[in-house]
Amino acid sequence: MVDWQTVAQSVAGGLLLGGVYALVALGLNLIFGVMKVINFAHGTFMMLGMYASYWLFTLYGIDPYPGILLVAPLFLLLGVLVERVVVSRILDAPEHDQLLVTLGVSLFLQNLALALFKADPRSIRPLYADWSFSVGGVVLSAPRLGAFLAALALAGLFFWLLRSTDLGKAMRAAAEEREGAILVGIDVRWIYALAFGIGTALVAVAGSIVLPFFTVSPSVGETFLLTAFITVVLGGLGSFPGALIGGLLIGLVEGLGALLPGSLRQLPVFILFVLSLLVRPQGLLGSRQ
Amino acid sequence: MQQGYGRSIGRRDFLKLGLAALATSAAACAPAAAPAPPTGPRVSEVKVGSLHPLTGTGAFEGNLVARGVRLRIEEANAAGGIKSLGGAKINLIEADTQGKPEVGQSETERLIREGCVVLMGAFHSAVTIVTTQVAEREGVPFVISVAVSDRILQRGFKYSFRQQPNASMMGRLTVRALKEVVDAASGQYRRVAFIHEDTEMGQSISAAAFSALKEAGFEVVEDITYNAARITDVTPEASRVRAANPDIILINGYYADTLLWVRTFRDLRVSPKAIVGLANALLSNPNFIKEEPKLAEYMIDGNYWWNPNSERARRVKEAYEKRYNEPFTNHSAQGYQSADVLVDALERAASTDRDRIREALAKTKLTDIIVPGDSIEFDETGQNKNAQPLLLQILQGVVTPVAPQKYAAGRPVFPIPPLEERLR
Repeated sequence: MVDWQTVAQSVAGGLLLGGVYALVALGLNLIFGVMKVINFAHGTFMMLGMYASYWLFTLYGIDPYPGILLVAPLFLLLGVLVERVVVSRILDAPEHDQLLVTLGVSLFLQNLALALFKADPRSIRPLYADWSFSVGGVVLSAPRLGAFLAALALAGLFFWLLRSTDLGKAMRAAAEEREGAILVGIDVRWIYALAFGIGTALVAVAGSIVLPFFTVSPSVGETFLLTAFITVVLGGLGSFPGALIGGLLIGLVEGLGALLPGSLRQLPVFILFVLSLLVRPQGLLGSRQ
Repeated sequence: MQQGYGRSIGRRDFLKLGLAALATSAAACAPAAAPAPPTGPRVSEVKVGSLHPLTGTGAFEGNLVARGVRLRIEEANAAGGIKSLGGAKINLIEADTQGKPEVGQSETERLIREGCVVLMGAFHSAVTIVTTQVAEREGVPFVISVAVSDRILQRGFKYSFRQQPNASMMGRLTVRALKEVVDAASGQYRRVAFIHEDTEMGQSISAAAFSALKEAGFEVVEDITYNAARITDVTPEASRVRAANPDIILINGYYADTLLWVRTFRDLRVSPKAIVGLANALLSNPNFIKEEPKLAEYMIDGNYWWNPNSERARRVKEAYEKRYNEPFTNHSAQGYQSADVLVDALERAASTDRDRIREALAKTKLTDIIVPGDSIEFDETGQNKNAQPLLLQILQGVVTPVAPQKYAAGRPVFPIPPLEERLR
């Protein structure tokens, strides 16, 4: 027996989380779109973003939302650093080598987090942790609603950056046609580093905004990484609106999947995924190469 | 579009690589096996392997168990080692299963190659199923520290032993204790929503709890299974529970996922007469009380614990808190007690011969124990016959055993105050 209220609640819960999925996928897609590198350390950076916000809150009382102003530049820098020191060396390597390198970065950072912070699950309790709004019987929890709105706002900011700034144009140019970009005087090396940095900052901020309702531990990144991969492929490789819509769609389907009995919750997501591969292999908004 | 030295990765490659990476991340993490040093006849040390999830899913609890094991072994060594072996020290080799059966298997094989004559582990039931199988094949005694599934000892194994209650005892005895509490409060609260995670632990506990619930006259009005490692949002499931309007919510799960459940119930204003854990890693955890003091108050959990009336348990608790500078938990208590069983068996075996140790383990009769029960004695499957879980409730910020009567240190509060009152 499923009443409409439960369905509405499932849709709302799924969509709210979908916003976060989209933000995680946007960063992954940016790095892939520009550099053609699949970043397996992506989930790990999210975990580190969560820890950064956790410590800002715990030690200095800085809430994760204003904390974004610190976390984003910090991880932009970290991303640029990782790109310059590690990833830039393997750009022309065979893809399985790239995989091993980004996976290696991920393992290193995960174990570093384990050594520094131990495996204890940690969570924070900001003032608004138990606020919630009831809209026609559907309860929206404040931390989740906040995460959703922040994710959309950040996605909007990111789209503006990509479309309307010189940096964005240069990134798109480097993604589209690397040699051409070099010919017109774009320093592709720095564009790559910045793309990696921005992708890292996006996912770290995604970590910040889930922290008010989610528990952080060194292995938490894996929970989100698989979903991000599916989102990217579903939305279309390299397509940013695709990642946004893909994220929301996966959240929605996952939410509705919860109405199924037993552990079948993930099933609709993967059915959707397989269907999209069969019917529209380039992804929802991807273009055929 | 891809020209020059920019390479192209198509969707197929992306998928292939993705799958490959997910598969290899398991193998990639396994430490390389070291060649086995030959074990001579001279007994200067006894090698004991400890297998627990020190990273990955379950790492938090896994480390707690491992620390309990370590404490007992350190005590034994400090007290002069195994006396019947001329004071041989126990060399504890710790390995990380990462909560993955395949890693557990390779690590078990490595520990045996390195000369461990007895093993302990492995926290996750799904991992322990595999590690005990390897140990059985190699003829190495395996003392289960924590792992609850019945199935582990239902395969006619000769080398596996477990002092903690198994899943069906956990389910059956918890529901029995819960029935006592409910009956004492008028007995009219019989509608139960049952939530359980979907790995070996959840499956085996829930099967036993289901029949016990039915027997005790409870009605299961909602039954939800979930994947603890993957779950990020339980709003939809929680609203299903809200729609069913149960008196009692029964949850079997790990720390982070149960926290998600409890917080979501708060957000959705679900206010049952009790939230009860079944071998739950959150609802009787002191860390939870620190993180969410208001939500934690009045939560109930049926779990393995230490005997609050045991003098030795009090001493161990003190020693643990001094050694690790963190609160003593039931997980560490199980680790400690299981290592105690092992030390006792080594002492009686007076040998590093695996079969001698196995025999000594089978004849275990320990009465000076820190867990509830009159003694630890194994039946023919290797299960401690007298294992007893306790019903615990968080009262004024302290995890308090409230049932069965014999081991109670406080009186249960049931029904619990409504949510609004609890949050005030």
